[in-house]
Amino acid sequence: MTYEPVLLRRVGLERAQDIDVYERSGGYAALRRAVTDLTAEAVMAEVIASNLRGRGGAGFPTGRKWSFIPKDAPQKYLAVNADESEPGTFNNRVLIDADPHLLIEGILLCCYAVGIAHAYIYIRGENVPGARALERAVAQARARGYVGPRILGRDFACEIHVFRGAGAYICGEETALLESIEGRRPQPRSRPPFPAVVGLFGKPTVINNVETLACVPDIVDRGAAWFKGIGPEAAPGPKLYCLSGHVAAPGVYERPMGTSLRELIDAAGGVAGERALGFVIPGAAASTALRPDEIDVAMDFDSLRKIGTELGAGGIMVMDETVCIVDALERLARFFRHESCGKCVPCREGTVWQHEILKRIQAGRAGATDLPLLRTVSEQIGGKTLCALGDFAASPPLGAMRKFPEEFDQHLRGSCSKRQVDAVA
Amino acid sequence: MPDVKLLSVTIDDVTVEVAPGTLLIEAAGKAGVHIPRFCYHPKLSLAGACRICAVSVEKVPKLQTACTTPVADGMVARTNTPEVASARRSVLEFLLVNHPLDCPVCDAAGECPLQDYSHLYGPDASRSSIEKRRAPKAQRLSPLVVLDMERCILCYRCTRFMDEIAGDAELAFYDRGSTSVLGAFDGAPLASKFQGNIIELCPCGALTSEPYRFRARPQDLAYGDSICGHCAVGCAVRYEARHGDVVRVKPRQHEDVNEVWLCDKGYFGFEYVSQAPRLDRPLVRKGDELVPARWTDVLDHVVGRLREIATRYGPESIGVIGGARLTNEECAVLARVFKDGVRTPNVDHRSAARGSGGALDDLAGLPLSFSEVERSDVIVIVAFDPTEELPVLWLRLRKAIRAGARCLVLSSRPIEAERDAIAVVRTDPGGEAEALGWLESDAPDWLRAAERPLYLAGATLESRPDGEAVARALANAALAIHGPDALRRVGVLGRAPNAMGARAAGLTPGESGVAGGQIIASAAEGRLKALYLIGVDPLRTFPDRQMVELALRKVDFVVVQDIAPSATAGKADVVLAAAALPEKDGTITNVEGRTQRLLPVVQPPGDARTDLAILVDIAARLDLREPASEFLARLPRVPASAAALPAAGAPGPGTTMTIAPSGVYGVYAGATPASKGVTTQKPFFAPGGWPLGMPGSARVSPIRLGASLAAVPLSAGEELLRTSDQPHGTADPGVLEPPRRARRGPYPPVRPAAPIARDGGLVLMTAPLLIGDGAMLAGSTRLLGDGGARGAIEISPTDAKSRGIADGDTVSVRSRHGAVTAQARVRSAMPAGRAFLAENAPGVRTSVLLAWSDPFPSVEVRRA
Repeated sequence: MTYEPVLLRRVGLERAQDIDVYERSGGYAALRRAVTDLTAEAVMAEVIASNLRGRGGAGFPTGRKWSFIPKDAPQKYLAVNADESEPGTFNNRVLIDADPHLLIEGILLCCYAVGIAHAYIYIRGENVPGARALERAVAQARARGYVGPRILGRDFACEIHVFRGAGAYICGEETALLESIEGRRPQPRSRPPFPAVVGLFGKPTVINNVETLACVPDIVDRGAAWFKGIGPEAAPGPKLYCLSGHVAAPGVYERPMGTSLRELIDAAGGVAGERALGFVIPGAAASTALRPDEIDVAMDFDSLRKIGTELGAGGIMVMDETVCIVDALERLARFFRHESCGKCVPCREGTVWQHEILKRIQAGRAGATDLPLLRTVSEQIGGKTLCALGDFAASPPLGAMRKFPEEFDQHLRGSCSKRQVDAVA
Repeated sequence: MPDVKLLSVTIDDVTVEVAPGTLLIEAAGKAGVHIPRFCYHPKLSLAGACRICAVSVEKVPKLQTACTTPVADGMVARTNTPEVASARRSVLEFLLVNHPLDCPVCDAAGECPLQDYSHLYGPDASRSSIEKRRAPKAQRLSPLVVLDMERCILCYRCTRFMDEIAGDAELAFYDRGSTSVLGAFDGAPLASKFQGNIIELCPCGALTSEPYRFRARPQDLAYGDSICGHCAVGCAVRYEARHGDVVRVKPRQHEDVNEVWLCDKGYFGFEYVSQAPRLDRPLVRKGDELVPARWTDVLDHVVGRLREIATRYGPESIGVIGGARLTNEECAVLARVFKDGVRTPNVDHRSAARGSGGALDDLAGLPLSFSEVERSDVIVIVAFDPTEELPVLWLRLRKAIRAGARCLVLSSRPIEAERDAIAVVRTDPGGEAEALGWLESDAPDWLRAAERPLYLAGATLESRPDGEAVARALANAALAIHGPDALRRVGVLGRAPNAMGARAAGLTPGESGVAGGQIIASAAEGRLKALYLIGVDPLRTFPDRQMVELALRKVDFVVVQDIAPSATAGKADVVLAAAALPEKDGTITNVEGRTQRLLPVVQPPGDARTDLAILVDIAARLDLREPASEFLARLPRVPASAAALPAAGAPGPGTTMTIAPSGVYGVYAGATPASKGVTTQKPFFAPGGWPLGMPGSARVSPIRLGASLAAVPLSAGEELLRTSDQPHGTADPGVLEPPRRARRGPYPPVRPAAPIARDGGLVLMTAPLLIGDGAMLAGSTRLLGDGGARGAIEISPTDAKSRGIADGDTVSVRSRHGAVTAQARVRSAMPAGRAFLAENAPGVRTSVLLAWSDPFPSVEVRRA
């Protein structure tokens, strides 16, 4: 059975970023239908019925999130999370580069359903081409009457602002993202109050991921039932999986949610070269690595949680047999140490400590107390911080120590079967 | 008050009822359970950063931070579980991974929450072997605040204070994560007037006070509770002294006055007490010199001369200026001595007032409590520079503004409060009355709609020729816009610490008497023969130096009674050495009419004596002896709460006051010393039941954490730790009697002042700024800085350009009365054609440019 792509269907079309191409291939039909024939409530009801779950990683039902926004609030906002800064995650980028109008139509449908007049697309600062593509697409949409004070001649006003961040992983955390838009140091806010009540500029705010919103036009166009027919019932719909690392053809692959990891690796041409699979990090930096015997797992939120790991935003990093798990963990720990915003003590100090311990283990200089130390330090970070970054930093070493004890043992003895350990102290 | 359903919450098996919205950490305090905190502070927004306050809440799987968790009805929380202990231990272990542990050389040691909590909740040993983060030591964020970034635990209290409370967004964390560093914006020195508060808020030794650095260990300090004497807000402070020298000032919590804040003048301006030159003995003129003499002889001489002059020229030939820096008790004796004893009507506590009995008097003081100020919905500020004149009141005004109040500023020069105003009217110098007329006739709707408006004018009106006109225009505008009760919300706010008390004690001109400024003018005209000046230095402050010089030459006899040598004292015939506020026992009354108690913490230097003792001895020489009961009856009513204040033996009914006519000190027989076992070396007058006591009664040993820990259960931590809502003790509320407003109808307008002549020069505006030359900041060199922006004349870019002046240039400023040299400060907000020079600009004798008849002189400003 070949899968007919939904989100990526225009990728490869000539000038797919152009509004003409988008319209010719059915674009903005959902928006037109919504604002002419459907009430806001009907659009929201459809999204709720579709059981679309947020693609940013938490998997929260999107329609329910929208429904939390107080209806009578005079000002409310949509913040679109296009910060995408996690290693191995690049599906937003493909959508923004290849089909920005799909995102814009999704944004407009959300704003219509929730009654929002201003949407901010928060795009990471380094993604200059993406920001330009979005600015151009917003201008085109405005020229066609899809964005502005009276959209399609109706009593629906919506403005879309493209906001470039300054480049920090923490800005992908939704409340830090709001702080950043407000011109402050991006650090997570304490919740409650939740953004649905006190969000951007103190007003109720919806925060959605790019891929989530890109699903919305087709839900409105083809109906919730169609959407629910794709993938598992608990988390239906298309999913963009980013495959990177030692696969023959790295890239973004669209498959139904819940496609098995083995199938996805095969889709990317399998492990590159003649080598065997070493381990897979299924949900980018924050998830526990999987052993080769675990790759038949269905790649959806719940199935992965059942085996103690996370889907995240769908960044799958495949490592072949030559990669040492300790090396990989050290690299991840360096990332979290660098990206911890510094607000919560356990994450700020703990990520530094984790990294220093892992460096010792990596170099074969670790002592008998270092593994328990790494474990307790990680446990003292997980669940002890304002945002999930602490949990993200805590879980890779905890999971790896559980699943790959033999590799840690080798390092403690000063060797590594995956590679030659230099300088054994 | 509307019925609020209280929520029931149980913490460690103690159930308390709290209002909805109460945070768990506050509810725990109510239940007597101390939850540790670093980032949490009740006056700041929530951060949820340090995680030390994590507690276990029933039915919630993860530990919850008590500082961000609002109480729900029936919530059951525990702080005494192994999980909570482990979480606290790990936070402290994390914090010390990078902390230098240089407690032996840290100012904060001994009063450091990080140290205390490590002791109480931290691990026995660190498991960390990683190299500690390094950062430059002792970075000067300003001449006042030193940062040791290695010690910083990133609680964000300081940055939140600057952003939220002070509104001075000049401090921020740079970089990210464990390499975050605190820094001033653009690396420029902090310029906030509230920097001391960030030192107070810092829960470790990262931010320390430059003037206090390495000066003392907290356990070596003796301290006494007093009231700050720098302005009329009357902040509750604690003076701390080492070996008899005041080395530090701390705010005490007084929710109705300063909450927990102080301005930098209050926080850092303490050197004048013990470190600057003081008058330590009485001096008498012998030819060109002032030479020391015995108190008895000096006072005999003073009384003899006054009697002689009164006999020869009439008592009204004696003018008395001062009292606004004295205690209420001293003011009462001062008024008694000169109004009843000497019988001169020319007495005034306002050193440069032009008149008496008009709207300026009717509207004196703040008719609302500070807490009511906070609930204002519109604030109109006229000829008032709150951040310079009454800074901590400004924090209260800003709080109202942050809660939604609209602020309108009418000012002839740019002032800091405009940052938070929604509208600014830039008037001509001396044009406020006219502008108020426009406001009255064309008030915006939001002003008309105000339910709780507040109209405030400042102390400079007192000495301005158009001051009465502005006060009337202010009252009339308020009456026209808001109706006949509006004057209850109008105030002309004095700056001097006890202006309100002095006024209440009768230190205002009697019938046919003249006001303070006119006393100087009359003296210059030869109509007065003697001047008695208390705590004032007209040669420096009076807005006409030539006239003061003339007055001092013309009168036959000048007495200066002050704490420190001054320009005027140098010209006096007799100089009487007086005690400063931290050396005094008594009460003072702040701008809202709140009478508060002060207690001495140090002895006056040498033979200096309190103003009370000096005045009582003069009273004795004037034969004003009488039974205490009658004398006391004339004193201002002593606050009822006095009984609740530190108890001590008070003179009972019928106590007889006897003054030893030739003795050095006034002694009241029958009065018992305050605390038994304390040697009362200098007996104090004790009006109506005030405790006596000097120096012992105020000195309470600081709690020593180390010594008491073992015996103290954890739940009592609140008492021990400097981290809670009340860092340095709480203040007695005092007794509030806000000034009353009888009038309900408009004032007849005063003819507007003649327009200011323009002759091609710049119109010079002057006002005293918070920080500047003066006895109260003597020795506070770090606060005064190098004369930078504050010693400068502010001019507009246009005028600077046309004169070829660049920012920072040295310039000569010349009016037809005199000339000075100052630094130029080019300020884009300054309108062309105007200049501003502080009256107390460091190193600049501004008053030589001014004349009593020409308060806004035209000046030439040229590159020197």
